[in-house]
Amino acid sequence: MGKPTGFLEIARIENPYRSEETRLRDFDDLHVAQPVDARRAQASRCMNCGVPFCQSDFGCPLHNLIPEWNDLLYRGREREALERLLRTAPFPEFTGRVCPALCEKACNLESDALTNRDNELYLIETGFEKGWVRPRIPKARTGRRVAIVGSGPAGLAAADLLNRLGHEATVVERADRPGGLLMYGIPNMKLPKRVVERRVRLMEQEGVQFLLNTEADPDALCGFDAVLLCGGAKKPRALSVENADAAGVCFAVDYLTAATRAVLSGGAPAISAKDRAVIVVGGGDTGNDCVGTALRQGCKSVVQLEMMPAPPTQRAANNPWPEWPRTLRTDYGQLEAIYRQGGDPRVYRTTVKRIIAGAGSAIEAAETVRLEGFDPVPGTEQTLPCDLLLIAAGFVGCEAATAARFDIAPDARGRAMPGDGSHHLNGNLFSAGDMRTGQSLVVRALADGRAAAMEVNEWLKGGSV
Amino acid sequence: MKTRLRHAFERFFAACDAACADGVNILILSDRGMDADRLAIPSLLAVSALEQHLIHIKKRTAVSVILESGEPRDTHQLAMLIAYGARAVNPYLAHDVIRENRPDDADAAIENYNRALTAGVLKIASKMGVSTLQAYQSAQLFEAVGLDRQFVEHCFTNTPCALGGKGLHDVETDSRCWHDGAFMDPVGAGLPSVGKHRLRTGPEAEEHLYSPKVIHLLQQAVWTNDAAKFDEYAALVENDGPRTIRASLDFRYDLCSPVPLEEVEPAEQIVRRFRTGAMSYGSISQEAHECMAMAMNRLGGRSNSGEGGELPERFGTELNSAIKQVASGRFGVTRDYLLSAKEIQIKMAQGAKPGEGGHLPGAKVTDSVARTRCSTPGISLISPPPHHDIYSIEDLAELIYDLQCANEDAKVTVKLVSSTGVGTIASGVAKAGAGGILISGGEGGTGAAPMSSVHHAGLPWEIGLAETHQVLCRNRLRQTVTLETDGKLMSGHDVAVALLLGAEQFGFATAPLVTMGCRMMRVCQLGTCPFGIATQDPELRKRFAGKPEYVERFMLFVAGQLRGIMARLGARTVDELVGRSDLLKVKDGFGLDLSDLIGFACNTHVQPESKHDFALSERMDARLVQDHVQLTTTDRAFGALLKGERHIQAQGSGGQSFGAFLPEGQSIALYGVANDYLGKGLSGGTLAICPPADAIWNESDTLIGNVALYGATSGYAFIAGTAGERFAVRNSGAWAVVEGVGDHGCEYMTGGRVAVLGPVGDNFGAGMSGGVAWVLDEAGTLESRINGGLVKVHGVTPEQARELRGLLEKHARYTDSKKAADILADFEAWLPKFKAVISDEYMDYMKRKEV
Ligand SMILES: Cc1cc2nc3c(=O)[nH]c(=O)nc-3n(C[C@H](O)[C@H](O)[C@H](O)COP(=O)(O)OP(=O)(O)OC[C@H]3O[C@@H](n4cnc5c(N)ncnc54)[C@H](O)[C@@H]3O)c2cc1C
Ligand code: SF4
Ligand code: SF4
Repeated sequence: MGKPTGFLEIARIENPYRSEETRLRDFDDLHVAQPVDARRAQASRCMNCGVPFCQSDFGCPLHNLIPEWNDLLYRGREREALERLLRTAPFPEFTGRVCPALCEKACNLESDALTNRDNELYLIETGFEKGWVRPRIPKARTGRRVAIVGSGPAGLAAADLLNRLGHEATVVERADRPGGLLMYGIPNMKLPKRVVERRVRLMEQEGVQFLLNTEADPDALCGFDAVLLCGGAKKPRALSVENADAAGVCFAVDYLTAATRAVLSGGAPAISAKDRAVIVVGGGDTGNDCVGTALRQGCKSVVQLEMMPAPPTQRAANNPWPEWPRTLRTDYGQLEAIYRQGGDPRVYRTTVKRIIAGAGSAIEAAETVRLEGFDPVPGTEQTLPCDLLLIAAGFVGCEAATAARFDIAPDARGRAMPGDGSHHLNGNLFSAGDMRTGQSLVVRALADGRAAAMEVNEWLKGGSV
Repeated sequence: MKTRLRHAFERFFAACDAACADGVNILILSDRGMDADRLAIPSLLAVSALEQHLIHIKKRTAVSVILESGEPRDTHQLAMLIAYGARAVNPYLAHDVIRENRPDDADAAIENYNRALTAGVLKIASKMGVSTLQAYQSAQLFEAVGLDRQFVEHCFTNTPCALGGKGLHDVETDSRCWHDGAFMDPVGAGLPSVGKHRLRTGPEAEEHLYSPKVIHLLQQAVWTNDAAKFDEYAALVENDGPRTIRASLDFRYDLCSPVPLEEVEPAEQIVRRFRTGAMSYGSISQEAHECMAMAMNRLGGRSNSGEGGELPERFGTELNSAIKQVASGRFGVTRDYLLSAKEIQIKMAQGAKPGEGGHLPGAKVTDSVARTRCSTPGISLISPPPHHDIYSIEDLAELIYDLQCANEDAKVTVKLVSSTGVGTIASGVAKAGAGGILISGGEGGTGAAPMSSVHHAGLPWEIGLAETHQVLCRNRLRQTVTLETDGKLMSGHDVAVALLLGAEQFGFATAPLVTMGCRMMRVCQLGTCPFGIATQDPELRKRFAGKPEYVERFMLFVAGQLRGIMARLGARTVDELVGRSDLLKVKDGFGLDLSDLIGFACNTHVQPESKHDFALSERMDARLVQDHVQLTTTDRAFGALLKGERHIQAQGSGGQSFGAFLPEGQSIALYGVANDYLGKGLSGGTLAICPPADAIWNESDTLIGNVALYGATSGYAFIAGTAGERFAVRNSGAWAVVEGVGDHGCEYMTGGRVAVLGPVGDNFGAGMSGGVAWVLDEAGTLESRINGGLVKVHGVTPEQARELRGLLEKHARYTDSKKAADILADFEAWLPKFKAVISDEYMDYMKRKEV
């Protein structure tokens, strides 16, 4: 256990961000890595709890062996720590950057929690740096072939595990680059795309095959023993207001995708916020990514609308530890907006009532309204100038086209979720990730992908092919 | 082709037979040949089955079996192998692992490991009262839980086996599963983390009773007073937790016609049967200790002081623990402590670590803890494994009697540990006159107990409770005692099962801690408990957030659930369900044979009029008006019933426990001899024993018996003659003079002063962490007599010389001792012959005090 009294002597210190001033100039990684001493000191705070809530169902969905690798890290045994980490965590370089650290919210030290996410990131990046992360090629092959549709975190995690189990894993991806939302969705400053590419290269060396620019087609996949659908929950929730189809109104993921493409190819983005007045509809994380991206592109102004009231700053009585805290979080994009514009970009209990389009049916302004619960309050309308309206209002399930093609009937919430709670849809068809669970988190998609892989493996072993 | 385990055994035996026929007398069993295709027979199974086979073919004494295996790695496994027939074990894989991890000093590390294993095995043997390895070999001192009876009879012949369960086939399935896991681990490096001690969650982990969800639900239920949440918690424990015996049992509602809930005994009445577990102040913080006491007093239940004494300020207030424990360490067992009790509990052993003593590290012995325990701040406290006044059931009877005399109104109870055969012991306890018996389950236990004990010692309470109830009923003793049980009782279901198996009172330890904020950190022994419970650190104690209400709510919720079950079973009172095991059945699909537990129903519970009568009012000291008395050896615990300030002159033979627990303001001078346990628990009184004036008395005769002043906390004892063995064992504050002692003098002493004006026996000062013993070393042999583990021999300092002189003057005055008179006549000349026996820790403490 780290140091028995570590938590009493050492304060929690997170990996800091680069300053707003410097980080707004580029799309590079937000975080500054801390030196090894600071990392070990942070790891020493872990109490090696008899009941580590951090890795329980309240915390890390991957059940990462947190106290074990914290202890090894504290003792300077980074390589062993990394091995313990990799036993349960397929891609710590992703979660170490984008995970909301459910483990920390459930840590027995509560508001004083360990910095597990930062520790995790340190271990894996050290591993890459020192050459400890090498392709692990399975010793024996089973001769079974599994197709994985979609290369988001769920698909990648499933492919990785199926490959380790000796099956031949082929990932089919519609986009030109692999990674799903890890590639086109989460912005580069939060998850540099070279990190995603590095992992994909490693997986290729281990034997996973990637078919890019390929729309999955059941007929083309008939040669596979099993097919695992990990197509994500890509159908965005639309805005049903007047002129919603005006030019300059677009979905967050499309906007973010264009932004990332531009970062990767060096050209100008297909949709840009430069010199535009931007309104982001949706006060969540995706909206925050839009705020940060728009600021970097040089927007004139940015406002983020949120239907719900502002959450409390402290846990409410009905939201005790170790539950996920429904408290106010001010993320990097919002911090940057505060820095640039002098105030929090979020406006609560407010939504768009009407889009005002001008010449060429391009958006000119948006009329907003205050909400009481879900009801607009008459007389609170306001007209805000707007050149770009980004809809980040969440997702409503998997794409209808993919579902139809594979002849599956999503449930009321658009999920391809087998009724028995398993991953097995029918025949040789399985599902995992956001496609099965609805919009979620990278770490949950990873865990779900792994669980699905184990199920596929059992099914293949059962000889029911 | 897969060979079945059964066939593998046939081949294995045949090979052994052939070797024996060839005249081989050492058989080496090895699993080094294991690979991806070949499994090894589990090593313990191989060793034990072969042992039984050799007995069968009458070759057992002709052959020795040596095991070379990758399996065994910890002390428990080693102990099992030796106890089931191995003569030597080579745990090669453990050695290889050490070599891999410590390449630079592998040999030394392996040596350390071997030494630790050997010490551990000896420790396990010693807990069973076996002191040599040879005697432990093939001793089979284990019980099987959850193994099929036939399988046990065949492979572990004569091992007690209270439950049915898994057989050879299941062992084979498990082996294959582990084997496949090892050779086809997809996930990568390292072993899975199953979380045997510290919990792990995930597909590879083992379940624990206190899972994160259970802890969270329980805390939320009692913190927000939410009965529905408590039901959710209880359902989770019963249905989704590990399969305890109680969770495998259900109630035969089908046999009963329910009664309306309102007619069932109210919860407020039921909770009077509830108690909190024995957790000492010292092991837990004052805040936590008082919180439980307050809660239980408000409910009319009982909290238990544990074995660490209690601050006298708490006596008679809402913070007083109704149950006062008397354990082998006798910490803080003063007369007032005993008088403050409604119930005095003799702790024969602790469920989680039977047969073991305790050790409270010096860091936890704060000023206040030291005061409560009548010991010295900063000095670690060792409780000896046995009670030094109990070596037989008669001795236990004596202690029960002594304590009953010390507090006539209290109920004296005895805490036993669940095991097969405990019923017989319980019968003895009932016959000895105890008012109650507690059967403590092996699942309870502190995070401070050694790991091998937490996981491998003690049996579930269900087994011991059922047996005890049955044996007591069959011997018509059940109505003389209350029967209590504890060991991870968590809900109304658990209590109902205990009730139907024969208990009428119920103890809870872990659950109340959890309600007060404990999240099972398992750092109790480190004192760094972040919830201010198992710590004495003032900063951490500030974090304590428990409230008596939480504990109270827990008890009331449990009682509420019990009422629901009672109503459905058609019972209006708890009493009518005691021992009704016919109302229990094994749940479908559990495949357990629990007929031994639930096959005998008998609804007998305690009857006040059947209680043992000690006839205390007829005792000599109860009736004594004048100050002179003639005693005989049957006058046991003489003095205990004296009231107020008394100074008695006695003649004759003092019986056992003469002057036990004598308080301040009372003195007894005895002209005569006394038996064992003189001045037991002396609490401020003065005892003087002078050789009988008239009788044929030889100076070399022993004046008093063994184990005098055991657990004395203050007062004086002057013995103008020689004492037997274990003089002043666990003395923590009394000052005594004696003119010679037998072996083991001043053992485990933690305070006070002892002057020995004559020879001492062997092993003097063993485990003595505090206090000072002055020995008149005329022969110059003292060095060879002491046990140097903790103490050293020093000269007597001037400060000590003053104390010694004062003490001798008192001795001379009280006893007319000739020896004392001689010394005092020329003290300075005698002084150099006196040596002081003091522990290093105490030496430091005295120096600190001077500064
Ligand atoms: C902007 C944004 C930011 C986010 N930030 C975070 C964050 O910081 N932290 C966090 O934990 N979570 C975040 N999330 C959520 C997280 O990204 C998702 O929960 C996760 O990526 C879901 O993984 P998935 O593998 O199920 O699906 P996806 O990542 O959506 O991947 C699905 C893939 O399947 C492909 N596909 C779909 N259908 C087909 C088909 N028919 N043929 C071929 N390919 C197909 C898609 O092209 C896509 O690449 C964010 C989400 C968004 C939108
Ligand atoms: S994946 Fe997320 S929840 Fe799990 S350990 Fe890492 S940061 Fe914590
Ligand atoms: S809950 Fe926090 S302190 Fe405890 S083991 Fe997990 S990370 Fe460490």
